[in-house]
Amino acid sequence: MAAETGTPTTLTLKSNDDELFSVAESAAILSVTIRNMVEDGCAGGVIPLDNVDGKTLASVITYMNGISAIPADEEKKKSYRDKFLSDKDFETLADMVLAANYLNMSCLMDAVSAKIAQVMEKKSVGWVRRKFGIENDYTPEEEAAVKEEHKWTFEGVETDDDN
Amino acid sequence: MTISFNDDDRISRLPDDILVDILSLLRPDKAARTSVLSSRWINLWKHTPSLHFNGSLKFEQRKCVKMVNSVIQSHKSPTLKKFRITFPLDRPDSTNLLTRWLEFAFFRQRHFPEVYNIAPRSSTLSEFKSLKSLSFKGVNVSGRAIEFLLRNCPRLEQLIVSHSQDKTSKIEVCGSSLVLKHLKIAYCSALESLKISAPSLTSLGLTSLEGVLLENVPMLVDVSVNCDYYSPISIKKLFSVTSRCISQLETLKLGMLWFPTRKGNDELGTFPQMPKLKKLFIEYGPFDEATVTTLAYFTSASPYLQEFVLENKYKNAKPENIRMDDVAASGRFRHEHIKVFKFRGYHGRPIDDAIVACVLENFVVLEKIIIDPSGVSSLDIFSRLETEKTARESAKQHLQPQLPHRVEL
Repeated sequence: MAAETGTPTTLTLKSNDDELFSVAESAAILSVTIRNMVEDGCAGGVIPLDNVDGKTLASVITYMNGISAIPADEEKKKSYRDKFLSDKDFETLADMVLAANYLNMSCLMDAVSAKIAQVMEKKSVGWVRRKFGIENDYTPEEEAAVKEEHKWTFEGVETDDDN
Repeated sequence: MTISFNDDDRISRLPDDILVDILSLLRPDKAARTSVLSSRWINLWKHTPSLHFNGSLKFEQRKCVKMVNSVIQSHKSPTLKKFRITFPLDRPDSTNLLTRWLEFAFFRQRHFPEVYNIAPRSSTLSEFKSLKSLSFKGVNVSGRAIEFLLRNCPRLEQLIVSHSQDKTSKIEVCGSSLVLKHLKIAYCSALESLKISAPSLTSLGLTSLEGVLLENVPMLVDVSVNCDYYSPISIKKLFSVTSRCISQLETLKLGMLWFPTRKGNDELGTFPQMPKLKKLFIEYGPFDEATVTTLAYFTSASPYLQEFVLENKYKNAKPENIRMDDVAASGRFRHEHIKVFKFRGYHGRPIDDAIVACVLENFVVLEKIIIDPSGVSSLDIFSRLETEKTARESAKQHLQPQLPHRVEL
């Protein structure tokens, strides 16, 4: 790979809304999807990432640069991830998990999934539906039946608050 | 490839397996709640590969139990990587519950359940098929559950069951293919019978001998029986239970031994021989004149004994009843292999010194004698320290002059 030449190679990534981003190859190959493209020799020009929008890609690149600057110290990496995700809202997290899935970045995927789970644990069904953009396709009767069947799950505290 | 999407179906673009992965990070009841989100979600949570039920002490036990039962009723994942239960379980039907949960986990096997319940009782269970060690502490496990576990854990080497109060307790640890090496069944007060037939068993720990049947234990070399003060071990019972294996034992540890009086000792008839015994630990009740007789019996029955630990936990040795002449008279036994003698609970009483004198006289190759005044229960630490100090000093005073040069104190 590129590190052999001594000069850091830079890749150009293109989001699905046609924004261009420069990123060091050493950081970008955290994504297995990108690494495969580089290894297959398709990295010469611009790498199109059709499933990621510019806003999300910018965020992912920030993460790539941040995490690859940290030496092999799992503790520090974890605290970087926690800090990186701490100010992200739920919409952004949902976009990130999609991007991480598409880019095949397991470390980001795991961290974002855990963060989403942590949020979901505390929130009401209505809140999750709204924030996740889930369309409720139950008829009122069906919904009542499902609710009845899962009545035992509704004993905890939940909230509609955004925080 | 371009996928057009809008902000409204953000999460729906994720494939099911990712959603399932996210759901498996939630507590199972919270995951199940997502059924209500939409028809796509109704079954997603049922496929999570791991289930971790955790409750805190403020979380009601009834709810926790209901949660586990509801989840295992609906859960559909064919394999489980992890099944973990961590909340206090202390109710009359907990044996049935545990058995049911374990059965559920076994049928979804892969990795295995960790059943752990917080104070006052606890138990750990992990990694079934390759499971090597399993311990239940304060969990009511039935004989049926134990047999089930033994059948399903072909590599199990260590099994510990303690403080189980199961009422219908009959335990059988039997099987020609068992690789079980260490077994401890302790403080199971309701246990009626225990049958053991395990070809690889090397060590066995018990706290009661009632209903114990040892059948096929060719490898057994280490036996420890620790009874409490109220139901001490009768030596007669011990020998009848261990009759098949006593001659192969290398280590024997006996707690709260109860010997019949001298007359009873005579009734005992032949004392079984323990030709392989190398280490002997005896924790004795109040010392009396029969103590020395006991020493004599044990040491002459085990000619190759190398280490002998005698412990007395009781301060009062009924000294008024002890006739020193008797002690001296019964104290004639020569032993040519014991190298280490440890005396815990030494108090500098005449009987203690008499015992030490006997030991010095009879254990002719003794290299080390350890006198340890601790191990005596006392009201407070200060008076205990004081007592121990006094005892240590008197040990030096009384014993030093008698010590032959070869013996280290």
